[in-house]
Amino acid sequence: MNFPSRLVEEAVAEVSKLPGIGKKTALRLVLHLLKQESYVTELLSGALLKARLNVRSCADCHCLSDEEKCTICINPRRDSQTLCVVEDTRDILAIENTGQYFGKYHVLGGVISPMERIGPDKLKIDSLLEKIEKNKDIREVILALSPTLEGDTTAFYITKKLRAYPLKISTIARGIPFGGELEYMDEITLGRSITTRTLFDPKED
Amino acid sequence: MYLEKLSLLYFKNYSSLDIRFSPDINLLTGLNGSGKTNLLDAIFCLCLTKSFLNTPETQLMTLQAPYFSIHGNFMGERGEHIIQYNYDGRKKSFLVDKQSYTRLSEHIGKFPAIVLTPYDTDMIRDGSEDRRKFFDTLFSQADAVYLHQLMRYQHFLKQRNGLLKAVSEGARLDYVLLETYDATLLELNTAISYTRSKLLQQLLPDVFSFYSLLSPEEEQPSILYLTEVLSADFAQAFEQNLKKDILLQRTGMGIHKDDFSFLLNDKPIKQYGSQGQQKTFMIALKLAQYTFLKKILQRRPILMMDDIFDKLDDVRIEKLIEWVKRDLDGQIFITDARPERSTAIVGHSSKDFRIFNIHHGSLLP
Ligand SMILES: Nc1ncnc2c1ncn2[C@@H]1O[C@H](COP(=O)(O)OP(=O)(O)O)[C@@H](O)[C@H]1O
Ligand SMILES: [Mg+2]
Ligand SMILES: [Zn+2]
Repeated sequence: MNFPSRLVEEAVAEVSKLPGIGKKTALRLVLHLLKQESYVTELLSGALLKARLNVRSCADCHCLSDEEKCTICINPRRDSQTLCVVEDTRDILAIENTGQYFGKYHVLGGVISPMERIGPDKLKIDSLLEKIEKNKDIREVILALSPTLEGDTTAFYITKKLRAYPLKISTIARGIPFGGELEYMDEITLGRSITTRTLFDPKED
Repeated sequence: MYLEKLSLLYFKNYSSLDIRFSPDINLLTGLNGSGKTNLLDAIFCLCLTKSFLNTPETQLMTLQAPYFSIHGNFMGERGEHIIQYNYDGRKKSFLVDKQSYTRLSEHIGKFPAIVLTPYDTDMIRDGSEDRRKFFDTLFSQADAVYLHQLMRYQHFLKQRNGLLKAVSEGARLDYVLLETYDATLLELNTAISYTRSKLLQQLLPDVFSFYSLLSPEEEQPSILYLTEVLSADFAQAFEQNLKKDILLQRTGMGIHKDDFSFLLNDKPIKQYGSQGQQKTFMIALKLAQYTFLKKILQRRPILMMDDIFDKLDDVRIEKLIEWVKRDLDGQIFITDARPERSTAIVGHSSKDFRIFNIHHGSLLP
């Protein structure tokens, strides 16, 4: 693209560096802001800058937080006997939105994948082990990792590391989506759902 | 299943073609370079979503053309199906009865096809990778779990090699992680190896009977599955190989090192077989593949023979054609640059047969 304005061109170049945003969308966003009053852009860039400078990771669970510890970790009403291990802060949002979980979290920051140069030492796995060593009241660890080969490897690895502790370790159920029809399920998903089948309890739901 | 109608637009040297085939025997004749092989490739593209010559899509388009399109009407055991494969230089669209797939690989096995070519004998001389690929492709169609295991194996092998690489570059070896990969790989090694050996045993009797059908000599063809995995001390040997693995930054043992050795009278056909014996062996193997797939998929694959009569003696050609006329119960396409030879032998058949004379990418009346 050839811009008559260098400044617009620079702004577009910056915006288009964001994931999922191409040159065209970036141009549309920048032109939109230029049409608005200038305070709109000030609010936006102010909020982004403030977030960038002040957001850090929670000292306890490593999710994004404004303070040293996040609102979930300091909430006395959360069940501190249950710990849910997730890949990143987005997963916490997803689980919180279900309104079905009242325990605490631990954010790994990814999954193990040596071919992408992500070993266990690059993730918050040591800090998870430390936490469990120190907090004797933790009774259950839920591994809520993505159902990929890396997610499974990471879950398996953590399970091995935790074998020495008297904990209940579980993984989230996976397989058939709600409303999914069996005959359209691929064999792998279906096979997996059958081997990890659960007892039928009509009271649930 | 058979192909009833085929329409091509800008496919290789065909700018436009509409053709109706016989459900039984189709003979394609024409000079070298007229487009016989290209026509087979178009059929193969519809059946297996890609060219059997591995031609990239950009080169499947006629030079300078803006797109290509292949449409085929197949008559199946359960009615008619229309397959459309279009490509416009950027986007591929592959539709069966106007529906697209989420994953193109779902198409594999639904419209099976097998091509015999003069290059088949390369597999005897090429590296073990090509032979593994041949059997893996075949066995994957027979067994979806096998395909899944192979994919997992490849993936975990890459991860383990990544771990080895990090260690050889100075990272501390995380034994728990290594054990995690090793345990998974060991399990997959055994499962894959077992399936390879089991399915090969199912294939062999047909290789034998097709070979003896074609060859007047009393020769005994066989395929030996070579693997370290099924030996009793594999797990131990695998573990002991770790130092070497770290040094080389890759895993030295497992089913990715397997091989299949082609034998005639217990001797490797690669060194001891004549050209004619090698050719006969590969035809027998491909025809065994045909019957194997037919049994497994409960569908008759489309059979294609591209120029395989060259350098085959008259006795073998006659035996092969006899089999086609008497025993083959599916559709076949045979190309031959010398029509007088094949027309003479294909004729006098109770089956329907049509001869197509191709000239510079079009059909002569
Ligand atoms: N993308 C293409 N565009 C135009 N012509 C092509 C293309 N690809 C191959 N051809 C032509 O097709 C001819 C080869 O046809 P082929 O089917 O191999 O002949 P044969 O009848 O000997 O089997 C060659 O003349 C080649 O130039
Ligand atoms: Mg040819
Ligand atoms: Zn926290």
